Amino acid sequence: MKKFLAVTLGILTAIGGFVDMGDLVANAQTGSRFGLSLAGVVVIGVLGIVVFAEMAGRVAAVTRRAVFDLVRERLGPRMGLINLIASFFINLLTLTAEIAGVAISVGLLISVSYVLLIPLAAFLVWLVLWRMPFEWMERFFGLLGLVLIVFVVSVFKLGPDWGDLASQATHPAVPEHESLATVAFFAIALLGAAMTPYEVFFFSSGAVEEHWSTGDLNVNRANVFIGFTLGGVLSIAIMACASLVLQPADVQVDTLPQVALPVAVAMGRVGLAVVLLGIFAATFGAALETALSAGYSVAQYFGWQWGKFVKARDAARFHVVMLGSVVVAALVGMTAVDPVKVTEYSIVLSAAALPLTYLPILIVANDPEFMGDHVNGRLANFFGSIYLVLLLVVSVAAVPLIIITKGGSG
Amino acid sequence: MRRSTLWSVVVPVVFVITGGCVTNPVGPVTTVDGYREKAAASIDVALGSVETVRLVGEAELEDKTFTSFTRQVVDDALGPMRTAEDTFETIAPPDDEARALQREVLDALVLSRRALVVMATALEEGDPNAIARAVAAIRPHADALRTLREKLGSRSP
Repeated sequence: MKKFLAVTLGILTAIGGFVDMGDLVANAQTGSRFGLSLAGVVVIGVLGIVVFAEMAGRVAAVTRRAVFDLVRERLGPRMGLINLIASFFINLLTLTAEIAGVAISVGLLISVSYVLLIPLAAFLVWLVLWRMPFEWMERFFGLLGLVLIVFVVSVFKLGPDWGDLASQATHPAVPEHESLATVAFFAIALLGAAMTPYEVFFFSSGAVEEHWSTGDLNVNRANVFIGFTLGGVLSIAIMACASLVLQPADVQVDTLPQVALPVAVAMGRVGLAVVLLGIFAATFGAALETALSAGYSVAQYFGWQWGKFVKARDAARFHVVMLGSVVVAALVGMTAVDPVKVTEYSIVLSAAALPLTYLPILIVANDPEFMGDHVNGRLANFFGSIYLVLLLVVSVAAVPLIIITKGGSG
Repeated sequence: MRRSTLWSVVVPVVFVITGGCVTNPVGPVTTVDGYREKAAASIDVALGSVETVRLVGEAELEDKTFTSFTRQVVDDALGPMRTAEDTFETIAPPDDEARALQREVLDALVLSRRALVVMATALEEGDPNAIARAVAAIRPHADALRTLREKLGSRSP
């Protein structure tokens, strides 16, 4: 019974923790521009993160070492450094967007400009990182993020033509007034949002923080297969809400409050309060995860002591990297740079860097020296290989598409 | 790769990417088609802003939002609207056809922005009747923008 409860709690946390600023923005933007035409890309992205997060969790449970820890050892310092630089830069962009998201969600309730709230949001992020135990932190914000189910309820309240929604999702088409390049840009943004690199760094390092062993492999599978998949349902619900309320009005999502607007239209003040709480939890949780991932990736590359499972004084450099990342992200956010644009670029550049993150995981998960009997099976390698080819194509296309579509506005 | 060679590759690439990301850049347009594209992009921004304010205004009238949220949404909508108007105004029309288009588009943008300002003022006053009037006044502007958008045709590329 205790085990069952632990697994259930893990699944709920994975669902609630799945959505972040990138998912909120990318899904609402695509819903408002293309309806559910790109829902299939969310499914592809969720399947991709399931495949690689399962591998990363399994590697951590078997080797008791996080993925980044093994990348340098297995692929050498040069490959590891390229991986580190790319992922750290994208992580910093993502952290900037998440901290701004926290400030915006609070600012909407208390009528204060989000720019003024960014230092407070950054301080709270650091305080939680410094004081709250890892498991509490993960569970609290993951479970609070579950209130984003309000998007699913809103879809039902809006009373859509389900046949039409299903038709849009199963018959993707380039809408009138849109170009194929713009559709491709947003498809890549959705894929980048679903498969953001920090998610696997956090997942595998978190497994080490929680002292997973081979006995936890079923917990790993349950979290990933059930939790992430249901998290993907939330993403599609965000897209559907935007498609039902914003698309008919020709509104394109440029700000975070526009993401919440369909819920207000469907459910009124209670729904709006709940969705703002959910956005707060999702962005705060993701800010913690990205700050931790910054610390994890740097510390694991240089072989420093890392993690919240050791005393702070024993992992001082890990904590300094986290603090420095939070400060830099807050400073960038305070320049009043558009947080939605930062999010867009972070997820599209994430997509460009995805092979750098996922190729090493596939290699390590196939190495019998590290994995023993738990190396990838045929199915995992089949999906892993297909995804790597797809990610290479996406990686090559991402930057040209940013230029051709002028960052999706073309 | 030598360090100097590396920088000579990285710096132009960064410039190309960041330059390519600029939406609706200010600068000369040599063809009427190019000018129509800029006009369409500006109208898209305006239409999105106007319709966002209409939606949130209607929700406000039905007590479905918090006033702090509504004000923020209206403020957020006004920013891009002003930018679209200012940016479009700075682009020199290449010929007479484009000059006629410029007048039509700028009129639509100015009137739409004024409608949003009226809405923002009504919210400041907290008068439901004024808000209702402001919402009702927004609808014709949205329709006019939509008609103009249809006339301008599809986006490129």
